[in-house]
Amino acid sequence: MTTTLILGKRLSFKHIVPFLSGGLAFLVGGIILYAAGVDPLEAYALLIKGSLGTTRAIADTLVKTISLLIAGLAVAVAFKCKLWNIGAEGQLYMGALGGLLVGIAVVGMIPVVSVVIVLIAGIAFGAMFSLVPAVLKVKLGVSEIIVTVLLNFVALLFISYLLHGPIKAPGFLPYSPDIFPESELPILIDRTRLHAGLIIAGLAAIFVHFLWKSKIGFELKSVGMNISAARYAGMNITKSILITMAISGGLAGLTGAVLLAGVQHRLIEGISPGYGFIAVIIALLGRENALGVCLVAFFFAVLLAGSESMYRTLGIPVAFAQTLQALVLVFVLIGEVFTRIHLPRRIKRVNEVKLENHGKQLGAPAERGKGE
Amino acid sequence: MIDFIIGIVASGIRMSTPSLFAALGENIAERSGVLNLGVEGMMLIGAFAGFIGTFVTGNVIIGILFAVSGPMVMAALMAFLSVSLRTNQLVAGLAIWLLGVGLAALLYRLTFGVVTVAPTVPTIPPLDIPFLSSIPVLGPIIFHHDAMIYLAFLLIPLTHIFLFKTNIGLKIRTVGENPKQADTLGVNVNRIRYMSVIIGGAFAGLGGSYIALVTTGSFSEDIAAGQGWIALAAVIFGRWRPFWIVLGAFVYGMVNATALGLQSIGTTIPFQFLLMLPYLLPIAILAVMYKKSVAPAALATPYKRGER
Amino acid sequence: MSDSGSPPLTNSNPSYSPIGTQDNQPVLSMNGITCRFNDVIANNDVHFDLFKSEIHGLLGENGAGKTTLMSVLYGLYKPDAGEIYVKGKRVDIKSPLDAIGLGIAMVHQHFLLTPSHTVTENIIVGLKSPRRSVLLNTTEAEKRILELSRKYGLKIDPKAIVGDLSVGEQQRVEIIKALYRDVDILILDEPTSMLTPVEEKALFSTLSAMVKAGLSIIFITHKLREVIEASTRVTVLRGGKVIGTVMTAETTETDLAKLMIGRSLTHSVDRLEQEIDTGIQKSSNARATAGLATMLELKNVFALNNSGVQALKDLSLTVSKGEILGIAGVDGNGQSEMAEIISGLRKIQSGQVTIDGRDITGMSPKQIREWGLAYIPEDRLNTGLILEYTIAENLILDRWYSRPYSGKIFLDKHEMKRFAEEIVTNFDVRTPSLDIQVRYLSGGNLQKIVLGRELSKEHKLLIAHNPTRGLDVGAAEYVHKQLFKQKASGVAVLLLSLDLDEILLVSDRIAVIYAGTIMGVFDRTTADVDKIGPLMGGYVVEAGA
Repeated sequence: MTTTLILGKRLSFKHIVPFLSGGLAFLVGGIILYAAGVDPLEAYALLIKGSLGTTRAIADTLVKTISLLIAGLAVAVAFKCKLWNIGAEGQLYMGALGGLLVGIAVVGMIPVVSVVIVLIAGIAFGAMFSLVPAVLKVKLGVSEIIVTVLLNFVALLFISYLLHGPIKAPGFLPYSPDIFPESELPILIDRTRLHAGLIIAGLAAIFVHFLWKSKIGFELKSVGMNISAARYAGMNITKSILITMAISGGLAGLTGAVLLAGVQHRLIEGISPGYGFIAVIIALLGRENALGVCLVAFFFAVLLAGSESMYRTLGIPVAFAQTLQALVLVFVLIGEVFTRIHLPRRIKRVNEVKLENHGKQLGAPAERGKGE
Repeated sequence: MIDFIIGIVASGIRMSTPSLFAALGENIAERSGVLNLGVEGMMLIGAFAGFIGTFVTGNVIIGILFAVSGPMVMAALMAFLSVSLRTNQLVAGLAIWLLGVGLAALLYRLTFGVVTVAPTVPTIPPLDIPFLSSIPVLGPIIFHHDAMIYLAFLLIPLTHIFLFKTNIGLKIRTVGENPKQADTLGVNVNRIRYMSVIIGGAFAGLGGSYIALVTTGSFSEDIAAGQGWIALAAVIFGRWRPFWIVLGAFVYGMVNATALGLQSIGTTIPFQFLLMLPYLLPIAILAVMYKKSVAPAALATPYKRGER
Repeated sequence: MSDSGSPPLTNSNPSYSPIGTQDNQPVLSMNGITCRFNDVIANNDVHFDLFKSEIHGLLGENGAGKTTLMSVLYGLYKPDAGEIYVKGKRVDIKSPLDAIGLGIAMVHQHFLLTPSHTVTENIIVGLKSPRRSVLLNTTEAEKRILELSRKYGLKIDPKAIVGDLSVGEQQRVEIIKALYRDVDILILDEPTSMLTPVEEKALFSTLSAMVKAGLSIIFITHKLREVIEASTRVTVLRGGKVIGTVMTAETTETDLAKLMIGRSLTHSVDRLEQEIDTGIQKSSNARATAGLATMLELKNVFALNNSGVQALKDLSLTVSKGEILGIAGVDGNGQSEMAEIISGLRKIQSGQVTIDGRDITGMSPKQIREWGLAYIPEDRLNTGLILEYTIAENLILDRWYSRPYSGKIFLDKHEMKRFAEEIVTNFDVRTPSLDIQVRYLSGGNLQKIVLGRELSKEHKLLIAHNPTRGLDVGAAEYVHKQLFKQKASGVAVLLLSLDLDEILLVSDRIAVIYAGTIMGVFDRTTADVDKIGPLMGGYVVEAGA
């Protein structure tokens, strides 16, 4: 919105902040590596090569992008409506569970239909699980932050129980049986792991993009921005909170189902390496719109894929990527402050130039002379 | 049978200690108006710092000093974001949490690499309080613990006195309820908030170091297992008053201890469900008493002199 | 006798007249104070003096710069230019702590108290304990509070919880809070805004007691009557500039009014109505007896407030089509709750609310709006608007779901823009662009956006809650004109206002609310402050009195 005011220049400090923050994060990361006796430049070169250097690498990066994108969208939708859903990880697992149950039960259908049912089951399970904190919030006023976080542990323990017992496949490991092949997401590029989940992720991003342009999206957003104004204006607060959480949980569940149907083809305990938590950072960085989430998700996928490469060759722990991600967030938060300070000044300058034109256009007569 | 119960209660006290430390500290921060969601991250840093300090120097006291300092730095960052920059406190807290998680795991792995047998330090042994620990039933439950628990016992009334009976405590509470009132009476709102958040960090460090130096004698990425979040919940159940917060943390510890106890004597309930209880119970308690809780009025609201 | 630090005794102000003897220096001198906020100059080269034992009224409209000037004195703002001298010495007041150290204390318009703490705790926070103790010493503090309480006739219990006290009692706590810290100069910001007429008189006698004891008082207000009653000298501010300083005994309300707004104060109702192109009758009597249909009726309504306390008690009233019913009352007597139950934002315990013949109990706010309610809320910033939204987005807050602003699924951005342009033109909203967030606009413009939205749809009943609070004269007049337009087109208008002058100016009938009940209803022609005042304070007027 602010770019329309900046005559000609479409850039403002607000757009530079993410890049600056990324740069600072890499700098701090580099210092830590150096202190640990690793050459930062070598490490970062590996990071780029391991994530974008070969077709295989790019495919792997995109595979990670799929999960990060859908999960990021899930959390971003909630955050935009000021619902602090930190439970995406648990909702993801429940979605994977839903997908699994369908995937091992349904057989003999056209693959497309099969896959779609698996994904829908994932969405449903994720949405239902997220309704627990939602109902607690609307009926009892309980803050969703603590509830969603604690439910993560509950979900993971529940899945663990199932994998060691009721849905355990024969064998020693706590794995579920494989889903039927027709429920798997097909591979898009041969000899890579890149699967059709990419299309699903794209659809999810488009869905969220149009959500904010819709009537219902306007209501959900407004309830988040200012609950008393929304209420006063006649919006339905309860309905909005429930729908927002359901969409958020549903998308998180979708992430799980896609992981299941696209990569693992069965449910295992570590099916998600914390995607639900990384999604929190992604959402905080890209929360305003779907495109932002896409870009950040890709960037973080690059970090994750690259960090695996750094680990293999230099032994740098994967936690390095996690730390970098958190650092980017911290620097962005600091950087945001400067956009706050600059903004009013820019408006003032534009005032001086544009006021006359708009005044004439909008018919605000300067001649009336009423005090303002 | 009675011995079994005594064992469980004593164990319950031990299991409530980490979140108790963290909750007492978070209470001070929240009383000044700052909601710090980063407690879990700070506890992990505290656990790591405490572990590495003890591992390298062989001295537990140095370890604890490390454990307290690391989180204090993170808390200062949290205060910088929340008080000076007036960022959304929820967002800042989440950033601190995730930074703590990542950094603790990263530093541990960088230091020790991948090992088949995790490095350990000797845990702090329990200390018998002479005479008192011989009292039947109560003795083993209360007076046969390590020194850190006795410290925790001491901190409970100390934080109460600090908040309610000292001048600075009144300043903290007023800053948390009506910062403008405090400001117009000459209280430095920002300084009070920084101080309170950093104290909170120190306590979180104590909580983290307890897990590393008493409970396990080692460190792992998920060693906190949500106790930072439990601490946040305990502050709410405890209505921001130290004695009630203790009760909240204790309930958590007891449920945990009971679950483990049941496991050890063998029960048909799958252990995962027992492990779920310590997470489900706080949710249930919050559901029941949330409406009645009255938070400090200015909690999570940034303050700037002159703003309407 | 002059040293380089002394300010000159006279200034360029033509109405200035020093009091006291020749070597009676002012205890306070503010010279050339200028304060700029972005584009607005809140204080423009202001000179202000205060002598010992005087009650100096600082008079001006909302936005004239009075509170800014005193905030500078109290260390809350740093002026862009100017100097301050206290007791002849040049000082630099960087924070409230400095001001307190100089013997300056301020009682704010909106009390700065912590309801959950005791009176004593509220008063002593920030002070050191005697004998440098770390511990809180409430016993000694309570003794001193009781002493001050006796000395100035401000009855208060130091152990009481502030949240349990009445507004008048809370103000006493505020005053003692100020007096507790060795004070010579006391600033009071709009002290009577929350008081009943009786409490007001008590306050004024307290002020007299204080100046007799040697205090010097500055009294910020926009009410002419108060200044005449309570002060010994008056400085008038307008648009950030000092217009004049006069001895109260040598001036009148009319003179002050002219200074304060630069023109005659009371725009008569008749003159305003003439500006409206309708053919309504000028006589209010005719309106009152015309037997117009009832649009809104509240019958024996009981309702609780957010703290579970009885806010509305057996409240009954009616508003007819084409009339303005003004509700007079001190803040906190049920006005907000009344607006909320009519608009569906609050549940009633018992009783009935009828709009245009339909019982609206149980209807949602959306349904009530659709049935024909327009509502200008008290808090336009936080309730009436979403500050991060644009004008267009704010204008459809109550109708986003209906055509033409949205289709089956999506919002219609073109329609929204067209609507925004229409409202901006019709309601004269000054903005550099339609795309900026409304939080950058001024208070008057924000209110126009709210008005534009509320008045631009079909409605039968309009609730206007403190519609002109914080607005300058021009904007307030605009709002009043809109209210008259509404009345003329047959809408029933319920006006809730804390400004008794506004109520007397605009209403056809006036109802007085106290503790959630209607104490009495007057026709405009028979209403005056003497009758309404006591009712506002809860005193039941004897029949025939």
